[in-house]
Amino acid sequence: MLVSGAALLLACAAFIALDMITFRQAMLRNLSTQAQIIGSNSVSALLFNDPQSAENTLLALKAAPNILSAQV
Amino acid sequence: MALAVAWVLVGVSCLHAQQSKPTEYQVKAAYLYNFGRFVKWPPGLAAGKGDSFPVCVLGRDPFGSILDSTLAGEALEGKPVVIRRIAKPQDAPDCRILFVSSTEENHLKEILAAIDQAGVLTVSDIPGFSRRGGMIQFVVEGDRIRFEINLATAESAKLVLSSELLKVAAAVREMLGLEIDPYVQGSKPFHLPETHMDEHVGQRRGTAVSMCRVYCP
Repeated sequence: MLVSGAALLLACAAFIALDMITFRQAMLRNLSTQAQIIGSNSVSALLFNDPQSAENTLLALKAAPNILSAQV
Repeated sequence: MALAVAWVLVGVSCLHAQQSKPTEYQVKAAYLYNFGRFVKWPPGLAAGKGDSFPVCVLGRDPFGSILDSTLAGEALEGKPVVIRRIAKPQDAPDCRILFVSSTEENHLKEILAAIDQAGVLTVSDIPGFSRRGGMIQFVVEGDRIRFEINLATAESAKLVLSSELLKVAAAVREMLGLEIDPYVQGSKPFHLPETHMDEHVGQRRGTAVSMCRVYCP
């Protein structure tokens, strides 16, 4: 009883740890992709001093729920 | 799902870091170079045969030494930029980028005729330049320098202007004066209503379609 309980607990802990790690990695990858896209689309806005165009580009991030703020 | 707080910082802007405000022609000189980064010239041009990238100023030079200091050591299309001050429109077809000084306003027609189809990107701050057959016209909006683009003239010279350049333009014109302002359109893709499209045939319809090519996803 004690042994099987401990094993269950251990397995649970392992699953939780694995989930956290993979989730973190996926989020990191997603965010770097988004930053990369926004970055390459903001080049001309920066070169030609066009805040409105930069804002339009950043507005696309509205669709991403876990981004609270973005700035150029 | 996630309670994660994610901050995306896209680069670090130098917009706020500027110490003193650059002068009008410092900005225009920088833009002149930046235009070159967003335009593709057709291969096999007469102007492309040399091993340099000529940027020319026709008429009285409003830049002075600013143009030289801004473009010093820069390269476009893999070739070092050289600056030429020219007096005659006949010298213009050898240029890749031509800035037409406001002193030449009265000769605009013959200048544009002289470089017709030669693949020269024409830039000027002459009022109405983009309506009168020029490609890029500087306009001053408040304390900012912006520019208008006439896409039709650029396309007829086989120049390809990047959509990145078009999206920061104050206005993008087509030959028939049908105008679109990217900000009025907002983030919506630009579509003429179906019925509107059908009412117009020929050139006008062609214009709508070619603009759609630029702004539609």
